Amino acid sequence: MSLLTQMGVAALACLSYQWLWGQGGMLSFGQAVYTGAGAYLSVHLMRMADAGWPVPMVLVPLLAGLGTSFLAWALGGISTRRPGAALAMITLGLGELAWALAPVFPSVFGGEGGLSADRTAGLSLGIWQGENPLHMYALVCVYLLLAMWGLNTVERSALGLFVRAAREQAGRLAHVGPDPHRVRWTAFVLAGGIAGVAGGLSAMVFEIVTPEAFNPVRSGELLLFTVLAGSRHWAGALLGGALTVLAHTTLPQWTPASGLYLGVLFMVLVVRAPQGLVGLAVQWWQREPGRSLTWPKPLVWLQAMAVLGFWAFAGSLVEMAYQYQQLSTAGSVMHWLGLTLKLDQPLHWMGMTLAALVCAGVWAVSSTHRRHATKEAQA
Amino acid sequence: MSPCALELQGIHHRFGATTVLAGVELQVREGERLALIGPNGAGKSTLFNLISGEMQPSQGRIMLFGQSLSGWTTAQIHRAGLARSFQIQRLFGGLTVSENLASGLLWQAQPAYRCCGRGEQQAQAQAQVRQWLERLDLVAQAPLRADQLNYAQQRRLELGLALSAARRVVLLDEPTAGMSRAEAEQAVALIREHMQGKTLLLVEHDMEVVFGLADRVAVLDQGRILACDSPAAVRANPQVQQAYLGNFSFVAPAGEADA
Amino acid sequence: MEFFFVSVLNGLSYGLLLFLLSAGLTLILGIMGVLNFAHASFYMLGAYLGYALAQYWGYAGALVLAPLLTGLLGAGFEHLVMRPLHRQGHVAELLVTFGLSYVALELVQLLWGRAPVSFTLPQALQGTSVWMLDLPLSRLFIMAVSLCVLVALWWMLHRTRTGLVVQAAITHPDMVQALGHNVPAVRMLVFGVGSALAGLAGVLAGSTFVTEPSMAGAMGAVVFVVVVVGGMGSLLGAFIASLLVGLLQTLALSWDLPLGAISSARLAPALPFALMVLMLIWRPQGLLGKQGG
Repeated sequence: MSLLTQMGVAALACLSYQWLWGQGGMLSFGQAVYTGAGAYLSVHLMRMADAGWPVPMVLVPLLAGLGTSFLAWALGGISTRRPGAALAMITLGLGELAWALAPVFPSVFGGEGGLSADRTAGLSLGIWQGENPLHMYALVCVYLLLAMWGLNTVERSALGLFVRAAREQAGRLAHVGPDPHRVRWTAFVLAGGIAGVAGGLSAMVFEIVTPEAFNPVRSGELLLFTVLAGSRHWAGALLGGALTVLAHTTLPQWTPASGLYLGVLFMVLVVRAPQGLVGLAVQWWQREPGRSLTWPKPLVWLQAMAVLGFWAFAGSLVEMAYQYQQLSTAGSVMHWLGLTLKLDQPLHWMGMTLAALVCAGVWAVSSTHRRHATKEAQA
Repeated sequence: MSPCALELQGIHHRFGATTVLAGVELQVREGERLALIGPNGAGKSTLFNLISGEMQPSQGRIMLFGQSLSGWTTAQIHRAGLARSFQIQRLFGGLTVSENLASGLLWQAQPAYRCCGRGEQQAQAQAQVRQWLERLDLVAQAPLRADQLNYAQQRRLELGLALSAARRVVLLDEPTAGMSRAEAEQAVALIREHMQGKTLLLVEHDMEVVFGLADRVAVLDQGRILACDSPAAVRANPQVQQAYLGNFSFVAPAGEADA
Repeated sequence: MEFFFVSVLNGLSYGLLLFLLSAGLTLILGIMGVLNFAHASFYMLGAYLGYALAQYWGYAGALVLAPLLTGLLGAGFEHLVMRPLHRQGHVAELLVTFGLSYVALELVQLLWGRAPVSFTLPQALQGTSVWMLDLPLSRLFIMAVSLCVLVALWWMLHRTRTGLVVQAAITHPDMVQALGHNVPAVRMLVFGVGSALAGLAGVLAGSTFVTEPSMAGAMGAVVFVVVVVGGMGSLLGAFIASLLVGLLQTLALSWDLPLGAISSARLAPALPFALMVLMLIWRPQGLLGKQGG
């Protein structure tokens, strides 16, 4: 349950990034400023509620989001003046600035220990039970659905069209009417606001926020998982959120190389399938129905096996390397895909390397062969 | 004499050490159609970029309806009443053809960044989009992405984006480039229909289009205006002929004797 | 007084290190139009490779070989990964360099662990010089090497034929290719040289300061600040901005002036970014950048 709640919050953050990047074409490397700001606003509101102010808890994320959109408005002007690389660097710099300034003001940001809060305090308005995890989950779902509905409305509106046009050809947009800078700025404020809501919710879930919330690594991860999952379809936000949480909790338990695998997967997707995992799925789903499902030729089978084999053996080398680091604690025997590998035997290392190289060779040869065959067929 | 829609005063422009425009003076009256011709590299596209706000001139002033445009952004110049098309089309590639046209027409229906839903504004704009699709003969291509169109279709859309902006002054940069004779004639008819009472500044290499549309012709050579006169007078100008011997084929329109 | 000179020296040497990094980034940005997010990763790789090589070939060997190796890695990456992406546009290239920065960090942590490694300067370069003042030799060494390399770079760009081709290819790649030059090869060369510069900076910084996985993240952002403040695409702007940022940060840290309730030392990490924000408000194109962007 708690895992799903966290996934919902992460999905909301991914949704805001989808809007900013997928619709607006703005690659921001500093969205952690807004999720962090939302979290801190939310914590301060909860503390006020604890101190006796009449703060309705269900509205805390909304208020945090509104405050954050104001911050996005203040910073958005210089962030969105020029799109592309300039925006990336400026948002990165602002993110680093926030990250560097947070420890300097412990009264606001709580120093290294951060600030804690209590979500059972404050006005419940008869419907809110802070102690009940189901209520927290429901709140997250409500905000997520509201954000999805809201963004959908904006996407269909005139502003949505202007934002997409600014993404495609900012230089032309001014010639047909709207000012691309204003358009980008507005989109940026909206994205910041939703990111603030996500941050506010996360503060409610964890009941604590530290300056780590501004860590630029988080901005990078938001980018990574949103692009990985797919930035055009709303399902991508859900997948991105799920992956973000899994990458921090479950995946590292399976393998210490999870970060490496994710990075490589990201790079492969950027080169081969920029539409992301969900985009790939949508493409496969919408493929031409005329293509009959014939059995692939033996060469295709060979290539497929070679590809799988290569990744399996390369993966085994990576896993062996990771475990080698912790020889003293983890021991020198490793079980991988049914094989028992001894890390202190150089023969095992060489065997895996050889197997990986053979698979790579077969892959290269078979793919060249297939390319020639298709060229001949086309000629 | 009708007031000056567009005036260029002493325009000099340099890229680093290279002077591209060396003292261009031009006056375009309101409602006039002026064609700008000249060999490649004469500075025509640079001049357009200066007028439409992509760049600021190194020296000189550009006046639109008597107001100096120095320091103005492209959006501000557009609001003041100027639209343009590009020699290498700048379409919104990932958007559909309808969306391309809608981006400008929505703004005209209501110049605001509205983020809430459908309304009269959208319905009105959609009706206008349909009209323009018919005029541009792009009805069948409406749901296609702009970067999926063929070259001639893209040029038509490019022209449509400039004309549909309904500005008082329109700059067209080689609108019929790459079009067949029939397509070029259709484009000329469309331009003529929509530029009634409006001011047109046109860069063209196709002499038939120039003679069909222009009231006056200005010749730009090596950053300077060589001549600016009626099409027949320019054709007969010995300076122009000397500069472009063999560069242009001054094909006489049917029925007129060559000088 | 001596403290002042030492601080200024520290600031200048740090600034020159920054310029080694930002010069490479500016060249790559100029010729490829792409922001190389992995630039700081090559810096980190240079430091770690220097550490590994120094164990076999000594510090001098590491100083020469590590940047060379890093440059080759950079050129290889450009050729294998970035070239096929070129037609997909700048954004795809930027994203793939971001991915590389992520993967490089994981690889370094895999191979050398998460804790800092002890990459140190040789005895000869430790300590202080006795000539005139007690200036730390390490900083003098950094300045000397940086200046030599940068002079060589300037000479290559402005006095050799290849350098002129590179300069031309930065502004007019199509024309240069039409004239018969091999622009893809030039791109690979520039990427390699830029990465090698980053690697050299890594060896110098890693041995003088610290070699740890987080050095890429820390330096990377500051280099971007330098490029933004100096003006994207301007080497001279990057030079001025590097020295400015280097001096500012070092002096704030070492002088520790009290500003109200906060000391400047605590603000020091934030100063480059604050400078960037101020520059963006006052002069968005940077010190020497082109207007309009």
